[in-house]
Amino acid sequence: MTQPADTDRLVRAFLDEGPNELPDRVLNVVQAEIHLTHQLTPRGLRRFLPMTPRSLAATVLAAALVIAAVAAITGQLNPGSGPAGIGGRPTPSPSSGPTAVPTPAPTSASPSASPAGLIPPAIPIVFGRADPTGDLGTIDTISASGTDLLEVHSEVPTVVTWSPDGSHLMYAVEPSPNQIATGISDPDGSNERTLPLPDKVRSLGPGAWSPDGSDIAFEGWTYPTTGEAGIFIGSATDASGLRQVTSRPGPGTDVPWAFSPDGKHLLFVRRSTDETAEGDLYVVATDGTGLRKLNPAGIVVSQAFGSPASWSPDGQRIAFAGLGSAQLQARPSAVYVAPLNGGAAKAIARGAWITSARWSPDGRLILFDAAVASGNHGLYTIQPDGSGQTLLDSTVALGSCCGQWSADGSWILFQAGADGSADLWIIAADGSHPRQLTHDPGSYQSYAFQP
Amino acid sequence: MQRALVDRAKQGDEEAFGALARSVGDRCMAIAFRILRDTDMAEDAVQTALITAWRQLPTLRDPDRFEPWLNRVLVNACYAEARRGRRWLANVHALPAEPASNDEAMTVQNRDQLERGFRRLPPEQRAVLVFHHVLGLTLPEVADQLGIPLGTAKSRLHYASAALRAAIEADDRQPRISLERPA
Repeated sequence: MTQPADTDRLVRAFLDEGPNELPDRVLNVVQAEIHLTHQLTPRGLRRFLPMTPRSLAATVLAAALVIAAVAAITGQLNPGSGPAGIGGRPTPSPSSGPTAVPTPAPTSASPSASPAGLIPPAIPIVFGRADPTGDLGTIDTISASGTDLLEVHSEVPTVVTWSPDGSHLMYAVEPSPNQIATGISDPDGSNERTLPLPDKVRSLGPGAWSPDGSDIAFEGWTYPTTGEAGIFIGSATDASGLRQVTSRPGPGTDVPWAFSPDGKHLLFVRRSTDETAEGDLYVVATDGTGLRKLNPAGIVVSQAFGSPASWSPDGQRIAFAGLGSAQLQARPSAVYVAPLNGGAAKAIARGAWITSARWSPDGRLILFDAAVASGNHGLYTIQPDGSGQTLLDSTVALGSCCGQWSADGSWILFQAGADGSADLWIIAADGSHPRQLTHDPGSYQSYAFQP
Repeated sequence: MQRALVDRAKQGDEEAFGALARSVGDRCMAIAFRILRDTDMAEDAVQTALITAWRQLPTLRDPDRFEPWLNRVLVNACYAEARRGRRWLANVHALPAEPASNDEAMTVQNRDQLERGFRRLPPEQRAVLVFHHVLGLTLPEVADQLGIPLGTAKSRLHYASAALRAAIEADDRQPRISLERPA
């Protein structure tokens, strides 16, 4: 039997091995790169800074690179022909900081020039963006037509949700080093307020907004005391009237996902540990009764990609993306549909790395993403009975995932590019007329059209 | 000296940042390799971390906290590199080219066992092991530098140590089991 002290000694000796020198060529690359890379400005100032000649030059260069990259792929929008993993992802801008700059002309970056009349309407979109190496990021809004980019909040966790009427944003704030609370603001960032926490140890992070906007389901946990985690529902105005809906001991949390359209049930992800975004998908009545797990045995859902589950518009069914056990380069998965009132979830589409499932506003289609044979990733639609599976061809070469419908079902917002170095794009619901919205590669953890 | 370089770099002095990068580069490489166990990935992670550090340096409030701050940037770069590459899944059997342990008790078998066990750990647990055992930080210091709660740091160290111990013991048991089998 190996004693802990022996293990520690062996681990230290093992970790003592390996290179201890950084080659000069890496330092030379760094020196060259920083010459092209802008530094961030301190919090609160970025939004108001005018464009400098250097950032203007860098933006022009970035736009040229984007145009060149997109032009290069317009001839290879044939599904399956794009190179795995990179597709048509625009070259990262050397000035990829979130400095508030005029949005580069999106039309010129579109793989297929949008004809007049198919320009997306000026629906506001909110998104949270972080650098792949950063914990915090910014919350921004932009019009679906590609204009009016505005940094709303900075140095915050990048999870953000619209209120049901689109009049407010909900996001996470850190009122103290060990606590997370829920922040509410107008869509332009004004009238910020932090919903009060009940004590010094409990966190109540943002979760889901009730359909009438009156309540919020919070992700609750305690720290540093080893208390239990669970979902609390309270007033969206001041977090009053808190009541606990779910409870779980030990590590992990219950992440509220979406109220049913009638507000009587709540969909949530029960993360298996604090270290993972994966867990089980549950539905529970908002009075805490009728807790039921939806994903089959051996299948998990992941909330890391932003859209793992959604309600049918009539509130009678739930669509979700279920992931099987990881294999070396693929992960078998499926789109499932589960009835609210009992009965097993049924797989309606199977593939690899399916991470999202979003019911269309009219209930006719479910939007999901999956790996395609070439190794790239694309968006599909399918009817809820499993028929009519359609690949949105133009999303494949871009390497796309995790789509969101506009409220009228005419447009789809999605991210395209490598993990941690993606941008937001918009496409017509039939898969035509993709247009690039953001030109700032990063991690886009949450994004949505205004309801 | 370092404080002066950080102050200048915060103001956009590229030469100062270059000097700063040279002063911390080797240490960053040592940390990144020990988390990622792959020289190419470690170089990529350090490169990313240093460029990120340049971009974000003006947001560093206390220049005296530069190294802990850089450590956190570096570890995040290692996480991103690990997620992006997934190469460590494909080269599970790759070993450092020139093992150079000075510990006489570190046998080839132990090294192989630890290499396999270590490569199975998630990067977050590897980082805690490296910060604790290589940098010699206490657990509260590890938690502070990685930006995680102390309980999480303890938990990651516990699970990582247990996993490595299990990796060693699993391999230790195999010969004994085979010897106990009837001929």
